Amino acid sequence: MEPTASPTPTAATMELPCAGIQDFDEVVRLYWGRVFRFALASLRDGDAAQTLAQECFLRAYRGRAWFRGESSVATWLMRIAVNLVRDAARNRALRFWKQARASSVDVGDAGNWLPDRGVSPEARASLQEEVRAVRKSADRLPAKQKTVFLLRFVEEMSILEIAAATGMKQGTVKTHLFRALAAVRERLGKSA
Amino acid sequence: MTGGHLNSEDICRWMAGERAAGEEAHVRECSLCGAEVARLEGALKRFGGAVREWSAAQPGAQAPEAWRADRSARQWRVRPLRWGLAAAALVVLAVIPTWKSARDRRMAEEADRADAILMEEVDAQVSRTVPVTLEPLVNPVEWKAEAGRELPGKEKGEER
Repeated sequence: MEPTASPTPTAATMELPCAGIQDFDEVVRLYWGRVFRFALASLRDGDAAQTLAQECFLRAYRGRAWFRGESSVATWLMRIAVNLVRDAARNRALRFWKQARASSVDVGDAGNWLPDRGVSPEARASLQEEVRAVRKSADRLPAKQKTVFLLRFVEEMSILEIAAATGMKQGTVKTHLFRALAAVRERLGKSA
Repeated sequence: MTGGHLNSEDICRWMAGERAAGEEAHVRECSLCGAEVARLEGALKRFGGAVREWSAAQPGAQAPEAWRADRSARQWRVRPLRWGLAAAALVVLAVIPTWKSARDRRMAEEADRADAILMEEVDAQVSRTVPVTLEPLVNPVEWKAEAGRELPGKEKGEER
C-alpha cells in the first residue's frame, strides 16, 4: 500500500480539527495571523486590526461552547471577523480614525512585498505596480465585494467557505466576486 | 464567448469559479485566452502573496504571548461591574426589611389615630341629649344669631 501524501498546510489554509477548539491557546496561535491579516487588509488600520483580532478571539472564546463543528474552526473564526469588520466599517468613530490616520499603515506598502524575488529590478517594478493597481481597485470596491475578494484571493478560501463565513448563498458570493473581478480587471487593463 | 474567444465577462466568471466545460477546453487550447487568464490569475496570486507577506511583517501580526493573561485581565475588567451589581443587590436586600418594618409601624400608628377619631365621634354621638335634627330647637342662641344676620338687610330696606 502506498503512503498517502498529505499536503502541507500553507499559512492561509492551515486547519485545526474541530476537537482542537478546546485548546484555545493553540487556536489563537494558529489563526491570529489570519484574522489580523483580513482585518488589516479590510480596515487599513494596524491598531484597529489588532483590536478587532482580540475581539474576534474573545468572542470565539466566550462562544466556544456553542461551536458544533458544522464548519471548520477557520471558517467559524472568519465569520466572526467578517461581522466585526462590517460593524467596524459602519462605525463612524473608526471612519474618523481612518481619516485621521494616527496609527494607520499604507497598504500601498504591500506592493513592495512580492513573493517572486528572483526577478529583474524592471520586472519587479512592473509587478509592484500591478499589485498596487489590484490593491487600489480592491480598496474602492463596495464592502461586500471587497470582503469576498479578500477572502478569495488573500485568504484563499473556496466559494463554499466564503459562503459559510459571510452567510451569503454561493450564487451571491460568485456574483460579488464576478463584479469585484470585473472592476479589478478593468483597472489592471488601464495600468497595463 | 465572442469570436470564439472568452470575453471580459467570461474571464471574470471563470475567475469567480463559474467554468463551463467548453470554456476550460478553449482556455487550454487558445494561447490568447490562456495568456489572459494566466495574467489575471498571476496578478491576483501576487496580490494575495504580497498582502500576506506584508501583513506578517506588521506589528500585531503575531499572536500575543500573553493571550491567557490578556484574557484574564479582560475578565478582571468585567469583574468590578459584577461586584458592584452584587453589592447593590445586598444593599437592596438589607434595606427591604428596615423599610418594611418602618412602613408597618407607620400604618399601625395611622390605624391607632383613625381608631381614636372614631371613638371620639362615637362618644360625641352617644353623649347627645337630643337627636341631631332637634338640636336647633334646643339651642335658641344659634337661631337668634342667624336671625340677627338678616337684620341689617331689613334695616336697610326700612331706611329706604
